[in-house]
Amino acid sequence: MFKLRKIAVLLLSLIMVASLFAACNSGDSGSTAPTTSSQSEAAGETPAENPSTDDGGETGDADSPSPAGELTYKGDITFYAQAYQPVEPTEAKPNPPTAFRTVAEAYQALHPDIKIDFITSVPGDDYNTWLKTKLSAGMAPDVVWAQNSNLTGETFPKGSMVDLRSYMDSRPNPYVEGNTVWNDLFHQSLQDQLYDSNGELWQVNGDFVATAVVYNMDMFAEAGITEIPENWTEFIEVCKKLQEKGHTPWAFPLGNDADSMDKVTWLGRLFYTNYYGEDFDKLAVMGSETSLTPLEVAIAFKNGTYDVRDPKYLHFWQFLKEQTAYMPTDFLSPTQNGKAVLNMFVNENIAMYFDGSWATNDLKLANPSFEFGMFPFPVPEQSTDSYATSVSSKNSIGGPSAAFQFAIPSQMGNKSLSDEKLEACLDWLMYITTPENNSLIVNDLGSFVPTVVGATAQPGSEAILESLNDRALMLEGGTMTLGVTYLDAYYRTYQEYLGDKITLEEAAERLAPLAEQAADKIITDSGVDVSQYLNS
Amino acid sequence: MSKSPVAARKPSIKNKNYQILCAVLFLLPTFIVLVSFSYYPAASAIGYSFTRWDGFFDPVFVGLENYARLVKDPIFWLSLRNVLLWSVGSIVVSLIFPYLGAELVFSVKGKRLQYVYRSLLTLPMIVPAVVTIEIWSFIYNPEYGLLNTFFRGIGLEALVQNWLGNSALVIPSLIFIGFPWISGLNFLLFYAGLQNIPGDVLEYAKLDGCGGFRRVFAIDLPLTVSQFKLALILGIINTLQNVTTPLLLTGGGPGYDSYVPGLYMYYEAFTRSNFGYATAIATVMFVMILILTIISMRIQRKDA
Repeated sequence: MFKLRKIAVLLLSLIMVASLFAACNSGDSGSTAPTTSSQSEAAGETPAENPSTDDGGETGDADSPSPAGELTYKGDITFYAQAYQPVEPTEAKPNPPTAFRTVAEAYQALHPDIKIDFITSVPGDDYNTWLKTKLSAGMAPDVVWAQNSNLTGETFPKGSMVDLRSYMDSRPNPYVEGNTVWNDLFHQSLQDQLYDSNGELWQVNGDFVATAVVYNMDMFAEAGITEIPENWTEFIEVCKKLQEKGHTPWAFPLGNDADSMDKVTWLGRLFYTNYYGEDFDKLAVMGSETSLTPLEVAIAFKNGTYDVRDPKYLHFWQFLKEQTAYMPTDFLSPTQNGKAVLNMFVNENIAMYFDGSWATNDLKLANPSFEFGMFPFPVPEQSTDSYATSVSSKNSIGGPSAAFQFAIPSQMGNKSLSDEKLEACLDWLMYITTPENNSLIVNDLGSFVPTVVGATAQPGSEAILESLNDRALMLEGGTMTLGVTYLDAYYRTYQEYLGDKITLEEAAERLAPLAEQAADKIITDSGVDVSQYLNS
Repeated sequence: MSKSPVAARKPSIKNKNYQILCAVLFLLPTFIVLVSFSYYPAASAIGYSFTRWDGFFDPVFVGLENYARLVKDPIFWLSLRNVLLWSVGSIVVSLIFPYLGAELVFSVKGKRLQYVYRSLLTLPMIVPAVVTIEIWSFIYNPEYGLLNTFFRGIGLEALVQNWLGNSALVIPSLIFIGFPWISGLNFLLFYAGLQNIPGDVLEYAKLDGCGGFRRVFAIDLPLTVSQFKLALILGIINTLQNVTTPLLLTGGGPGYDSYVPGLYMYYEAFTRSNFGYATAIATVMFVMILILTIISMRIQRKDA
């Protein structure tokens, strides 16, 4: 009897653990389920002209890339286009993007044996888990959207995507007349932000997202504010004037979700670029020109150029804590995510909030009863910030982290990927990265700026496109490059600091060993002998 | 003496074997599913806990490395402390209030009325947990949530709180979810326990003048102890395994204030691709649950 009980206990416990795993696997997969659209409205532009397929050549493999030639692949290319996914209009989304459908149809006309199959039923909230599961099972779609930081970081294992660098550096894009090297079609200041430790490039990137302060023009007028603030001193003045009129000046998403975490990394760029810009030569030990590879960031932490215990590293936290005086009293809440803050703005509970260029569409849909505008977030200034330098970080508030980020899962992640299919996927990526198609697709959505060289931006966004030629610096202090483990700890510690639970010194003590561990991991995983770059 | 009809119908050995075969065949699909989706994943998880595995490439055996890391991991200990606090609070409310509900329904005169109340109290069980969590997310919203709006409405501004954003309040807020905690499995358990009390015992108690609260303490509680034990162990297991509530409601925040081992395991596996470490966390939880189950069963055996 006793033995039977023992067995029962063991079985019961096994079932419990199993059910726990089952619970984890079930996850939260609220499906946004975009449906396939048959619409093919040409949004004022037409897709790129016929390809020149005179190059000939064999179908390539990752080790020995060859120029694109006649495609031998026949069949579907399954493709997830994220925000650009062509969908049917709905009440909530009356004007969805359709341009990708138009481009796909033009491509299919050129290659009648290939069909671009926009995949549906992709989970919105837990996309990375979904894709990782697909990759693990070898069932990933042929071309997918993925954030570059997730590809260079820990989220997706290195090797789960095809390294596109060798193809992009050695092949022309046959759909662009006169192009000899595909990679030349991309702004190198943006490409610098995408390269992995060994120079790998896991995606083609064709859009730029900018972040800014969105403000209620009516409230500004009521408070007698006639000019938008350009520095922190002016920004605080604006906050005070709004407060005097009984308004809560602004809010920043501080929820416990990926979106809120992202926002802090966006804001961090403004400060880290300015604080460490003058040290760029010391940081870019491997020769990067405008931003650092993950390996250079890791070396910077090993060398102490980035030092969490250095008061400069977490100084901007202190600055933002002072700003909480102008935020709602419950500024710190797990539910205070981007959507909640947007609602507060639309309902006129706050006068300003921090958001990205994608907010324009959200705000148009919300149709607020007031006029709204956007202005760039103030940058650190030497008169009020002891660590500020003269380096401009204005351009670092945007980046190639939007929706036009497409990667090809490797054969391990997509068992259906043959050499022929890989060639077809590369060809499809080349087709969508012509200036014409890139402009058509990105401008159709209206949230971002197309970045393929020669692309045209929507009216009002031309300045952003022009700024990409400046090759401005962008430093993020390792918040993105050290991986999600470090970012998670960084963000939670930041929350605890804002909530008065720990001091800045305690925060530094907690984060320093984690930064060290993350740096060691990046160096080990890269397989590069970095001894020559390390301080003795 | 005539042969009894029962003896005449005694099954032959062939018939008996057929019956066993039938039983095995009927049970087989269940066992296949159970082994495939419950035992195998659990057993393989223990194996993976000794590896470094990203869920994509082949796992690499690292011996006890994950466990050594776990012992020194302050986040794990913090999450354990959080889940213990949450468990204690949750278990107290999940025992007391369903029992009170069961006593109230049991005291209702008239079987039909009892049936109505019982149905009403078990009806919320059909609401999916995710819906409940979303509702509570709205209730706790500091700006427009039901709770703060209620307090503001009745002039108790001092009670308005940032329920999920305040370090000191987030665990109590998680415990409070499900208020008034009456409905559900525990209510049915206690109600069934009360129904099992022999009618003559209750009758004698009534004749002896033992009614109301005295009956509850002198008769009902002692005779439903086994239900309490079962509810207790199920409560511990449920809370230790609860990933969904903190995942959807707080993300473990603010900071690490509602971080629990189940959530840590989820993030390690699906956000950070550390499946080896995640399974080590799961295995430690398995051992903890196993120990608690053994302790509970020993106590029950002693009582028996």
